[in-house]
Amino acid sequence: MTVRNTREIADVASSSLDRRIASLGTELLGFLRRRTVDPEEVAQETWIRVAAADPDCPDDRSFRAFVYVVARRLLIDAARRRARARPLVPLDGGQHPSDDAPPDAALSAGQSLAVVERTLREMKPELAEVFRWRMTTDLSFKQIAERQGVSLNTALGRHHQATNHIARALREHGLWTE
Amino acid sequence: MSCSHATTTTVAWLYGEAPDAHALHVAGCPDCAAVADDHAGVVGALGPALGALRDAAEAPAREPVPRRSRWAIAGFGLAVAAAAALAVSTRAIPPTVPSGATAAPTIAAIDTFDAALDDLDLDVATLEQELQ
Repeated sequence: MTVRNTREIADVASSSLDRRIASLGTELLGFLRRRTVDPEEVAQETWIRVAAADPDCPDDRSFRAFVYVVARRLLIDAARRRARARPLVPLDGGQHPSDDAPPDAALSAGQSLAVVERTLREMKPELAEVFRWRMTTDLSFKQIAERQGVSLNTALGRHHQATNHIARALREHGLWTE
Repeated sequence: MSCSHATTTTVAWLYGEAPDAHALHVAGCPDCAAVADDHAGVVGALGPALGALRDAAEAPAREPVPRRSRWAIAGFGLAVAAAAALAVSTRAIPPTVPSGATAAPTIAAIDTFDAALDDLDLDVATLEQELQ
């Protein structure tokens, strides 16, 4: 295979990826805007990860699924980073509004928090403990498993159960974004 | 869920503890994709309020209202309702009052108390968050 041919193949592949990214750009941004206060940052990181992975997706549908899966993971990353960065001492008497979030988003987040807190209190303590630790600290699942004296898979399963309960409660209260 | 990765590797991957390549599996697996949707959805719903969970994680756990106290309150309500029922039964009952009327208010009083306590718990939790 000549150098010119390999370069042409690389160019074709690159343009195909570019086309797919371009076709989903606006849609992904809209999806992220409903779920995070940093939609542009998460979108940019998503495209970086997708381009780096250059997944071997046979069609646009599977490529789209891949993009959204990566975006969802990055949403969790971004939210946990913000949660860890929040100052412990409230600067204004207890309110912690995001500078970027509109007032109705803050209200909705407050309502969701109340539902989540209640659900956490109602579930088994070991499930709630894993959820709080993994969502708001730097503890890994392995470290959490060690603290609880269980296997890694048990800790993972507990976190998933807790999240399941919370997701169900949020849906029941109409606080879920589809 | 039929996929063995759904509650293990996929959960680990969602929090950055499994290889990036697992994304391809998640994208093609309905079970794992649903898991990803749930986890991201919870985080999305909490939004900027996620950090408030940290304070609860670090602070001593709030003691839940003991069930004994709830039953004490309900028991008091039951005693009051029973006393009222007794007072009603010792007076001349008009012929139009149904025979089961003295039992209904007692059960309704307990249900009302429990429902009110549940609502109160949610209100207190909401207020606590607002005060933090």
